[in-house]
Amino acid sequence: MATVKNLVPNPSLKNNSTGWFSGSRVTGLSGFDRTTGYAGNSTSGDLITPQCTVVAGTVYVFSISVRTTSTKTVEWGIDWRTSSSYISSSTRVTMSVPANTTRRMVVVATAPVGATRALGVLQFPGSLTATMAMLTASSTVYDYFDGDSVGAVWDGTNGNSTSTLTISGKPQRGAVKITGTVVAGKNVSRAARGLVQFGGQLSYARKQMVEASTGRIYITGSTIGDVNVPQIVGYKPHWLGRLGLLRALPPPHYGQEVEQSYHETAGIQESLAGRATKDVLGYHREWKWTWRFLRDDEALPLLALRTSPPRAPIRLIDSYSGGNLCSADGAAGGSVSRSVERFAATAGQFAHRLMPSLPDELLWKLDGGIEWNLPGSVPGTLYVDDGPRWRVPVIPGERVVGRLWVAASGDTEVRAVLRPYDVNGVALPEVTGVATQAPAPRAEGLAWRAIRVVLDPPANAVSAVVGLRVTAPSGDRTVYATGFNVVHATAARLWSPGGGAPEVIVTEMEHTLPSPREHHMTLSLREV
Amino acid sequence: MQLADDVALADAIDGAERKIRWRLLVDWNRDGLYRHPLSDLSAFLDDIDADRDLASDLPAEVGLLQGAASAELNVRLAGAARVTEAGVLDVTGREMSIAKLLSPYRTDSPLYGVTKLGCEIRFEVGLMSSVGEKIIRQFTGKIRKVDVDRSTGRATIAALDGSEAFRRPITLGRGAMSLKEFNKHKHDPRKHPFYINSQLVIDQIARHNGYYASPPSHPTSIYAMTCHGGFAAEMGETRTPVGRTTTTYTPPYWKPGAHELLAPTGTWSQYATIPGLATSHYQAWEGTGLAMSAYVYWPGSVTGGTTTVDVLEAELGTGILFVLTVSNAGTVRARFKKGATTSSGPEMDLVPGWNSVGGYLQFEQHTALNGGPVEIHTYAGGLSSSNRFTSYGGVPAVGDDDWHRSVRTAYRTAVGVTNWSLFLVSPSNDLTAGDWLPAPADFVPTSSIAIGLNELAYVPDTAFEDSWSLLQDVVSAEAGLCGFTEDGFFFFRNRTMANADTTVRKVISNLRALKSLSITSSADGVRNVVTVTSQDGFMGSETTIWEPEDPAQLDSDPGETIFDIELEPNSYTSLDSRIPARTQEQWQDTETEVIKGFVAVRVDDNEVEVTSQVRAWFAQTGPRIGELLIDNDKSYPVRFALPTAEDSDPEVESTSAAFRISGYELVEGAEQVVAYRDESSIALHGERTLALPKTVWLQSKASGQVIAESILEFTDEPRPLLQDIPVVGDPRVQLGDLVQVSDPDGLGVINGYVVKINRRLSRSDGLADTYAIRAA
Repeated sequence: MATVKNLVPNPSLKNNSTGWFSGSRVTGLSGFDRTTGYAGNSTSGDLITPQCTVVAGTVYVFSISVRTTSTKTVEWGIDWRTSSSYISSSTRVTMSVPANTTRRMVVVATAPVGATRALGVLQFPGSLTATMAMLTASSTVYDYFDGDSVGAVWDGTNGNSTSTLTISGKPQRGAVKITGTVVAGKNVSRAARGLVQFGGQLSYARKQMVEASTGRIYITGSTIGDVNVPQIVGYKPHWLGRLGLLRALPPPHYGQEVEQSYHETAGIQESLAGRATKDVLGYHREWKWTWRFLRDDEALPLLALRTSPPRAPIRLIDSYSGGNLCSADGAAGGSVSRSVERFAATAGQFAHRLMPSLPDELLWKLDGGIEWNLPGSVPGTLYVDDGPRWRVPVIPGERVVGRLWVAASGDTEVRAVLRPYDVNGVALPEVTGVATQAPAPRAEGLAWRAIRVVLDPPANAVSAVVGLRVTAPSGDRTVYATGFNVVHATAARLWSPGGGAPEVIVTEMEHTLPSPREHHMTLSLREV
Repeated sequence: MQLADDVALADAIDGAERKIRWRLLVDWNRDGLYRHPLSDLSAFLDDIDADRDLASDLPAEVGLLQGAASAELNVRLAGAARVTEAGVLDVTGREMSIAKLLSPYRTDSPLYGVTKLGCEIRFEVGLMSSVGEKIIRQFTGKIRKVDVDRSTGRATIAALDGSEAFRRPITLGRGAMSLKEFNKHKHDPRKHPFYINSQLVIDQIARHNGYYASPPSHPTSIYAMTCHGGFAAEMGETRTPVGRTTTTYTPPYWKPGAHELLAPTGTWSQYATIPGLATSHYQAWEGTGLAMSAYVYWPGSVTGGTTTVDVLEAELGTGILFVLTVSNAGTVRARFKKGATTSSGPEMDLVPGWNSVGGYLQFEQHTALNGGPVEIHTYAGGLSSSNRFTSYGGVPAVGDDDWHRSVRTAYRTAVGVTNWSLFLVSPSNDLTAGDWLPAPADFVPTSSIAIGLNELAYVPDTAFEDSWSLLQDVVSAEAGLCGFTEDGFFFFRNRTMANADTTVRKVISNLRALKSLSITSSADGVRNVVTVTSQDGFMGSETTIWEPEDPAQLDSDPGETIFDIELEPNSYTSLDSRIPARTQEQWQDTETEVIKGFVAVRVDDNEVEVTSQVRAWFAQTGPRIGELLIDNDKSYPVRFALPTAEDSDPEVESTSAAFRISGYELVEGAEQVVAYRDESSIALHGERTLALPKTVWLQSKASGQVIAESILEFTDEPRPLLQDIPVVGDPRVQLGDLVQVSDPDGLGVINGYVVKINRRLSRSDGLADTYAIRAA
């Protein structure tokens, strides 16, 4: 059993403002997970938290939640002190806090020599409300807790003392009833079930495991004992399997996050003078899951990967990596090499080119795109990942959004296209986005415009490809496209590196049974 | 160096982080399209070596860039593909390792039943540059070995470049300068337009193996002569050049023609006649015909001479001629001549320069040659036009000498001609544009053949020799360089071109690309005396080239009898196939030797001479072999022997055979051994001799001098060899490139020629080259 201590006494001003400085206690707050806090005005001075006991040389994370009525820039940092005097301050973190929006500010710092006390200091113009201060002796950023949080207790006086959270090593189990608001197109019930297995540690799930935009789900159930889970946030799981048979992977258990690593196949040569030349031949990623505990129905499909390898490529939908399911785009292909081999056009010729200019969104991420030459007035469509091996996996009910950037040699009407396929590779009716004018180049370079298209995959869809349709070119046209992006989401997202749905192989699987029908498993996958 | 001027590629190659791209393709379907589902093996590539090296007769330490450049590819493959149980590549199938895919015994592999050995394989490698992907061909060749390993699931493929398939047995077209012609101008080589440049021979070998620097001859050709540096036909026979005097023939007799290959320069007023013989039997029948095509050079204007010259001529029967006539006004027309009657196809204009021209006789009846209707087509500049003639005079008729009667040909050098071929036209196919030679600029060559340094007086006799071995003999004789480029293009460079690169193509800097450096200097690399042995040969006067060893050897029953006759090497048969009958008196006339003919006697009575109704023809049907036809219209067997005396014992057979086939034999010239010296080098290093091996392919003393001096230029001083120099890979570098190895604070700065390349692409080292470099 591990414990974490919030070293801030009276962290949310539950009963009074003891220890806080220059402001005044407020109650009935909204927008925070606590309804009590501290409000102040810059004319009165900085808002300062109660003193906390620290040990010199230890790394601390100090956090606080703030809210203002108008957008303003807020600074947050730590003042280190002895029992009687000021020593130094940590680096201040600065955040622009939008109006009526709660933001959590976090600073990580090491206590200097001689420090025995720490104070959190907020600086800001105008007025500000703050609460939920937390100082933990760790480099890990935990979600806020105090003695009123699930699994945590007050170390002393209720509300006015430090608090300790106990992290259960053994998950709670049992039938769980899930009620609440589920966002359409998201299979959150499955995700939630996984979280409940953490036995109430949901609050401390790592951020990257959290789907921020989902609704609230309330879970009750006797088997989770006396722990009340008032609110959880669902997140998207990884999906694994062949097209049409994709199955959500159980969420990893707390402290056993998915290990994802990126590998480069490259040779390094060194000249007589010592200068190195690196020849990059390809890239691939690897994933590793560890589950401390799985039920039969969760473990057996994974074991089947080993005992009866599927006669089709295993695809992984990597929900953590940003979600761009394309394996190819204008500049970065899959794991092996960049090329245009995964592109197909119904007319004209195309080739990969480094682009003289790119949208700001893509700078430092991509260096080129597709140059597509269309003869005469011939319309055409350029599809990406158009091959049974490369198509983006889709799950009926899980909305996908395609997005890409386009530019053209002259005003040209373009649309984004998503074309679904069934399990036999037969194309299903495709959907098209809004007709848009791809603008002609400007003096400073190509004028890029993002276009999008939404597909709600029909029941028999297993994959899809995104494309660019030029509907009515007038004369010869050169169209440029880059930043192809397909995500499982309700809205378009900014571009992220492709390969979110790679073909993978199982490279390692460990399976132990610590007790009957309890499976301890690790699963390692490698992109091919 | 490939893509030497591509700045973006050069920048990418010199970059600190290089993104390597590659393609490995195999044409499993052997159709040149590389469309088999498994043609692209790029994803299976584990590592690969492409080696380019030289095979040479000269000592290695001489290090000359000469000999046969050959390339070898060794590929290691790993990985798997998904295959259905029906053997179809499909993502819904199960995984099959590359070893299983390539196994000849996996019936469920998409490659089952595919003969893998001999399939063409290509390897390309390149980099991502600032303007996109740049891929450069590194190897084109044929698979010669495939290994698969069950335990590892891996496979290896070994391949050789075009030399692997450059093995077709070849019999070179023959030709020889006449001794009489040579002796006329023995001390004025400029007067010898009939020397044969080695380009002709090398081109013939290349063409025979499918590599063309100029268009191939028509597939149904019965006679073809490229004229690329000599008058030796690639199909059919060519013998001693005869014709008018050449005293006013102004050199150069040969200069680059339509495809930068040698072509005869025309001399309108004083032309020579080059005879030839199509040995394929020709028979006209209804609807079929005979055509000829060639490139003809029209200089724009000519002076002197006659109004028209039958530049290209085919004699179909006695006095029956099919000709292409060029006029001094710059026109061409096909003509059909029979006896005194001449009928002409339309006259068409030539343009100054090289013209694709042709003519076509289309016979409408089997008896066309004896007077039936004929349509005469003329082709020039992409257009064809015809005139029709309904009948011809009946004389002269084509007689019995049609048997194996070859078509005699003649080229009159009034204007330059190349790529002349005489071809049959199938009755079911009219001629189309594709039957004619393309416009010179439209032809896409697959070989590049330089003008040779060797001038040959004769083409040595060959019979079904290995093409690659023969090529190396010819190329070695002049210390030239031949081989295949990375994209499968055949090339020949002569000695003076082999080290012709004077521009440093790449600086291999110790700061950037040079990974290690060692230099070997050896006195063995110095050769300051080069000895050359040459021996020419000429066609002598007509003489007997074959006689029976036994009088009874050719005994012939009544009717036709055909004998196979084996000929001696370097003998040339006569153009005239008829063997005349002689009398005993003529045979024994000591004043006039009978070099061709026969005397027949009755087999059952040697005393009785048979002076009529026995006829004989001889035709060469292949290299060193021919057929002899005896047509015996008597009712008894005949023997070719002199009659025995009347009073001799009738049971005693004649021992004096009397049958002679005439032709020409090679008269070997004197063997000349000449030493060429570099005295300044000798003073420094002492005499160090390189003796070029004697070969039938080095015949001219003058050629030997050019070759020897060219070698001396590169061997007169020690030129260090930089062996096994590891370098950061550069896919542009080719054999023969002049590069600069720059190690200014180490072993110095050296300019040299790349004479050996190992190019390796591996996952552990990336793209790495290892060179052998000979200092320039």
